Amino acid sequence: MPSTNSVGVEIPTGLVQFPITKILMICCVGVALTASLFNMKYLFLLQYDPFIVEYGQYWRYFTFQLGSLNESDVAIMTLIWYQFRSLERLFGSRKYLNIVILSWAYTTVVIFLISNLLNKLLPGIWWDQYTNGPLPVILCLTHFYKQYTPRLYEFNIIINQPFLLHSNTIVWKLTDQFFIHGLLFLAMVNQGATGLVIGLISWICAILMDNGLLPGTDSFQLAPFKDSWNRSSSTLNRPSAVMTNDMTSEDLNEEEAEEPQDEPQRTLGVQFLDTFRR
Amino acid sequence: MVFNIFSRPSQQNQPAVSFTPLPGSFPEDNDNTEQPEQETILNAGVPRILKMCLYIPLTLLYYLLNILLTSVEVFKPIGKIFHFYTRKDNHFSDDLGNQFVNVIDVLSSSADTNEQSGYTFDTLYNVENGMLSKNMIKGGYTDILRRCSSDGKFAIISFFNPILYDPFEYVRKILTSNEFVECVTKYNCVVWFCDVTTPQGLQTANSLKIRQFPFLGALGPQRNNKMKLLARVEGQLFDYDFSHFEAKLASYYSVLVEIRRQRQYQEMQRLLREQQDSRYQESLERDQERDRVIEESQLKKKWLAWRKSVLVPEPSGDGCRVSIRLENERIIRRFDASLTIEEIYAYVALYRAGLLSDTSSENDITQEKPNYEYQYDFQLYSPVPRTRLEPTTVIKEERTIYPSGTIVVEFE
Repeated sequence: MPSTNSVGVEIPTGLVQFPITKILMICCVGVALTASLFNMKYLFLLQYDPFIVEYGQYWRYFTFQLGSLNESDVAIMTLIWYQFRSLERLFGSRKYLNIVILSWAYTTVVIFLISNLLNKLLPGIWWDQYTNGPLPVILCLTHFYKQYTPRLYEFNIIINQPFLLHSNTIVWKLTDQFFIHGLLFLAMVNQGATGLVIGLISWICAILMDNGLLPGTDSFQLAPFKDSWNRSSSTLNRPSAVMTNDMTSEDLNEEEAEEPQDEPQRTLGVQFLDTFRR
Repeated sequence: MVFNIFSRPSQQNQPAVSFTPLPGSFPEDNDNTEQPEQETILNAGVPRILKMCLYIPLTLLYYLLNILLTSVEVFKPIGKIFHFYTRKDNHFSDDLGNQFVNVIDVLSSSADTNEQSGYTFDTLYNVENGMLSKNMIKGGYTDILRRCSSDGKFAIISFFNPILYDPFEYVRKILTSNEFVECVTKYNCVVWFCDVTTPQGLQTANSLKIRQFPFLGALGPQRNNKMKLLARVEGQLFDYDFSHFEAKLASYYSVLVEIRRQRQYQEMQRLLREQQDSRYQESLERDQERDRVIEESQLKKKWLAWRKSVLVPEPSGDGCRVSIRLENERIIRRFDASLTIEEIYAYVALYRAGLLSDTSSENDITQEKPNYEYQYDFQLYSPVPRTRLEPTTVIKEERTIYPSGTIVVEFE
């Protein structure tokens, strides 16, 4: 039974009733592992030169987000997907899946357009490298995470006597979301400057999506996901004895143990005192 | 060891500075004797190459970290881009009661009507004139817990999530249904609403381990004053029948009644204890007063006996001759005129106590003055002109009674 008298900071652990998070985490690890086993990592590699310029392999724009080439990326992104289970709880599984698919589609199109336009129209700029793995989708979802998840607490870290600075202390204000911020920063930095640029583009995409300039956030229904697949056992019309959610048999036993008594419980001390008072 | 290595080059470059102890601290002679030994061990045990191997990378790391910190601090203003996320967190300072009213306002904006009952959210839960407004508490989650725990009531809490595809599903299907309204009125439940995009809502949702929204839960108090989640409905409804929710409340209701009775019993016990304590206090005060009176009367007796022993005998010839009028008596006596009028007061007190007629030998023995100031319960007056005779005045200075006069005793 949840402790109802205390406030909670962490969302429920585990992936029960978070099917999309589960699928995304499994895919994130599974695709990278399979590609590694079958030596197919080249499918997820995208570089403007030579794949686009020479070979015209435009399909790579659709695959570069599906698998990570780097194992550390896989680890970081799996952790981020796990943290984003709060988004799945907030949006509901179906809407979350739709937003993930929509983010993937928008970021792919926007990155394709921007890189191709820059490379073709501006001769001085040559965008060759792209990120691997679902970094653009994750950065897209980061906006939704920050927009709809309120901060629960914040704290300051004070570092004394920094080098090369006039002030005596550096103060960093961190919130309860600092862990996910750190993971996101690592995920971007792990892919170099490209990660930062594509991250920024994806984040702007998400803002446009949230504001309705890139439509579909509230109406997109492409994903073949039925809500009944993820039905909570608490909404089933079954007797409470076979419920499988948090109201476990432990609670029921507790209830049975607390049978109503004729007289309220009295401690031994109270019984002694009552003997003399009555 | 690493610190020792670091301290080595600085010690070589600079002359040894003796450690100045804090003012008032004990002298630490041992340190001075141990230091040379440590140095010799270092010189002998750690090869110079190892020291250099550690010293160079750690120094580089130190400067690297410092540069990193500095660069982060320099680029800090870029972080202000993200401040538009924190603007909406201004409701950190919002009153919890206002947050509750805001949620009610948002939910009232839904014009959805329950198909069977015909109720809308506004008709039931309007803060001012809703049908169930008496069952709502304008406050935070902890207010609800406190109220339900102390009053022995069920709390039904509903989480509203504005970003779902259908945020008003529970409003339409449960909250405005006849069964729900009957359940709330039957068990006199407290109803509370909360928005999950507020800090309070998120914390409460986390503490209840909610995995899907919307959410409707019933909390009930336990014997140990904690609240327990009795029933829950979360996620999208399909063919959910509210009677299961109500059945759980009904099964726990007997325990709730038991808890209420226990609370009443405890309250009664408390009142009983208070009454007993107050009665005990009264009786204690009575006893103390009685003891005090007994003790005072004994002290008075002792004082009078002492006063009698120091009473100056009546002078034979001269002196001040006064006639003292008591209630029904008249006493004539001479007093030494050099004494104070207090002597006359003492004489009257002794006479009234009947001690002057007692001529037993034990009273003649001079006793020690008891540590007690006797308060005369009468006043002496001269009748014409009527003036009060002050005990501190010397008799011969009081013209109304010296050399002879009349004194009237008046009782207080």
